[in-house]
Amino acid sequence: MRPKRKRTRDVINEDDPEPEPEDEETRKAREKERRRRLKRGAEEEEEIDEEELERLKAELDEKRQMIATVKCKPWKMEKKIEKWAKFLRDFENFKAACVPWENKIKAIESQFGSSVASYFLFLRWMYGVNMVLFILTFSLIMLPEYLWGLPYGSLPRKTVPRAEEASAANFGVLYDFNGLAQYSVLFYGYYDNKRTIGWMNFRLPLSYFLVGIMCIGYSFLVVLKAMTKNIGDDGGGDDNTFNFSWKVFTSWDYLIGNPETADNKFNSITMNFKEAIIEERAAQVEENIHLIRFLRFLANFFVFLTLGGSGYLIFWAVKRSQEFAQQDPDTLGWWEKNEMNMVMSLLGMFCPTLFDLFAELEDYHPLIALKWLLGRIFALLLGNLYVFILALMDEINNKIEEEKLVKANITLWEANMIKAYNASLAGNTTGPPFFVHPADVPRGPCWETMVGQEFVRLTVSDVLTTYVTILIGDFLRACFVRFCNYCWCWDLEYGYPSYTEFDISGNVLALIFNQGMIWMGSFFAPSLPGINILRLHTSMYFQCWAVMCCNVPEARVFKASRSNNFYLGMLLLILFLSTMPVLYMIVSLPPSFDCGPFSGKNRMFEVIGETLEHDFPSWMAKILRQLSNPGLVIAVVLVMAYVLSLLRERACVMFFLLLLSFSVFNSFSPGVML
Amino acid sequence: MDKGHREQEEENDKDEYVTFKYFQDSFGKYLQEKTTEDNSGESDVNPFRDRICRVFSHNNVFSFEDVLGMASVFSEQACPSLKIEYAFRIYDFNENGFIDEEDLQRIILRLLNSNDMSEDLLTDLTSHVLNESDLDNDNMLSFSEFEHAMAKSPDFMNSFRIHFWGC
Repeated sequence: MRPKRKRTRDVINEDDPEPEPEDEETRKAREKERRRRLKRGAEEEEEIDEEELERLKAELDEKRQMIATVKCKPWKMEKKIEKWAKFLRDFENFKAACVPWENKIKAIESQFGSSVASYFLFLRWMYGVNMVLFILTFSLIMLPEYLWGLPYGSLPRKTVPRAEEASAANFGVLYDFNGLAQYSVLFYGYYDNKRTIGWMNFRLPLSYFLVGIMCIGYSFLVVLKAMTKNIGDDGGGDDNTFNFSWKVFTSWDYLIGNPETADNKFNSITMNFKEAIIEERAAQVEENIHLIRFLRFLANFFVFLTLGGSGYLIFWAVKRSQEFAQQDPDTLGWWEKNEMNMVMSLLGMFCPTLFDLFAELEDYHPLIALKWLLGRIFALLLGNLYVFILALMDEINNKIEEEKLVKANITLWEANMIKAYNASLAGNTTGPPFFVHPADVPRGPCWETMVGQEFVRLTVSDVLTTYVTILIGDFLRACFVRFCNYCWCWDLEYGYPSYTEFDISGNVLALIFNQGMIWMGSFFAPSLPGINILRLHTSMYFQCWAVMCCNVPEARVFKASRSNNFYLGMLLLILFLSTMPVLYMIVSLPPSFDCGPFSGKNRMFEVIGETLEHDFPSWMAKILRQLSNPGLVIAVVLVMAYVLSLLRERACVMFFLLLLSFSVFNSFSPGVML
Repeated sequence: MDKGHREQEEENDKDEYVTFKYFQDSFGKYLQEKTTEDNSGESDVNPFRDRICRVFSHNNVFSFEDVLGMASVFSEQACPSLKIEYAFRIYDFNENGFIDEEDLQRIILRLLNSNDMSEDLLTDLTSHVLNESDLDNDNMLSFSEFEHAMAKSPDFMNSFRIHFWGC
């Protein structure tokens, strides 16, 4: 038999079973290939001579004989188990092949390095999260209402008002998500507040509420899980003990396969080494520290000015958009209609360049400067988002005031209609029954649908801005540089403007903030996760193409590994900050009286109490009412605090902090269970 | 000649970190590129490619199992200790079981992709590295010292890997 050969890897068990001979066909195919390779080897290098060939041929004949005898024997048990192992292996291969966009990302990785590829991995991960949110909202909210709810036109909330009917199907109106788009399953206002619908008695209001809460809970879970998985990788942190050793042994990215990237990498390594040495030497020398401090203070001052300015601009734009909403839509041009979204997107595009400019004053080490820049962009986007929400809250309060007026008006209108109906019946006792077409019923201002619409419009305009920026900023610029280089005074490719580099941090931040808007808006517009899925899908292809076609690898390559948890941390913060306003609105604002699944209730969460009363046995309701006893809640909080102090693992601590905050929140909003 | 025996053993290799199907597709192309020790194939830009070939081959010849072993070590799922062991062997240019000053200088020259570098820069870098990692002050890095330094590195696992897909 064949001699057992010690393998180069050291993780193999010594007592592996002897490999068994296999199918005749595959063996023959392999032998053919091997003979072909041997022949090719014999032509190129003179290593294999005639003797060797003869010996191999003899071996082959021997094996062929063995197969012939083995084929006559019946199959043994090991062979069947081997088939099962083969099936498992094939299944693993299939699962690996099912991961979407793997080849694209690997191609980008080999050309641009692991940092740029990490953005696309992040994008793919977000796509997965959004897919789950989409499945939840689609299958448990939109689909049941579409299948079993009352159709369009049957209720006032489901019909376009008479005044708007003429223009309801115009493209301009649909693009603004008014008209027919507004009165559809895409938005909150369409849903009916009947407790059960359809032959399955599907409890839609309850499902709407629970799906909203579940989306938030799932998002938290998945982000925390990703963070704790990465915490293990990030063990080193800012450890400076092995600075130079790591630079020498881990600088080279073995994934690089492209000569241009390799050249860039060599250059960046050279610069990196030189800087590190200079830093070591300069650590002792202190320059004019007062000047540096003054310049940094000045830079921060300018940054604050910019942030304040952008916040004010957004507030002003939202106020103006409310004024425009009062006016007749036909008198407004395109800019007036889209002013607010454009202002927000443009601010998000130009302020980071300003920050870059101010950072010139500061004279920090590039890595530290990058962190400051990221922090400032984050503050900018966060500030913008919150100013937007404040303006929105203003608008919501206005609408709630308006609603009271409308309610009063409706009672008057109803009285008039009944009077008119009775008057028409005065002559004959039989007549047409009292019927008012749903389109004629006066409507309350549905603030939830308004909120949903704002977020959807913001998302759509963000998408368009991003794509247009890529087309103009990256593609057209690359075309210009490539084709005008022949007839230009200076070298366009190496000087200004040259090709754009892929801005990883800008793109990641944009992705994170868009996701924040999705989380905020999806309770009021169940279609938002679906729209986001479309957006991420097209984004993936579009940006992959743009990166490979128009961008060049970064001149300075920063490692992505330490940033991973930084970005996930920001995502967690945004998630927390996005869900706070939604939860506040659910708990403290009264739902509209004539639209949505919670209409008629005092607060949205009362749907839970209602379900407990009607659908659960009475003893269960009593027990749960006891559970919301403040004394018991305090006791639970204390126990959790004690358990927290015992636990060391970061993941458990974070999870318990979450539970803690929710239980405190629960005790402060009494009567959730009642 | 051991070439004939490899094919039978591959199927029963239960400790693979690399799915066999993908590997087979690029096997031929990869063999062609990696077995030549000069500046062949334009796609081969790794400054340590000759060391990689040397460490993973036997008797100056690359058998199928050697390439499989290399794929395993460089795969994403390989364990850190395995990667550290092979990284040490790759960086040990003179193969004396230690990474000494001469090895460090050669690594740095390879990384900078130039054969002439100011002597101060080289000696500076070498002395910094040895100051950090050389614990027993013998002016060389033994395997345990190297392992100690690399174990805490957040970038080591990410940079010390190669993909073998056909695209």
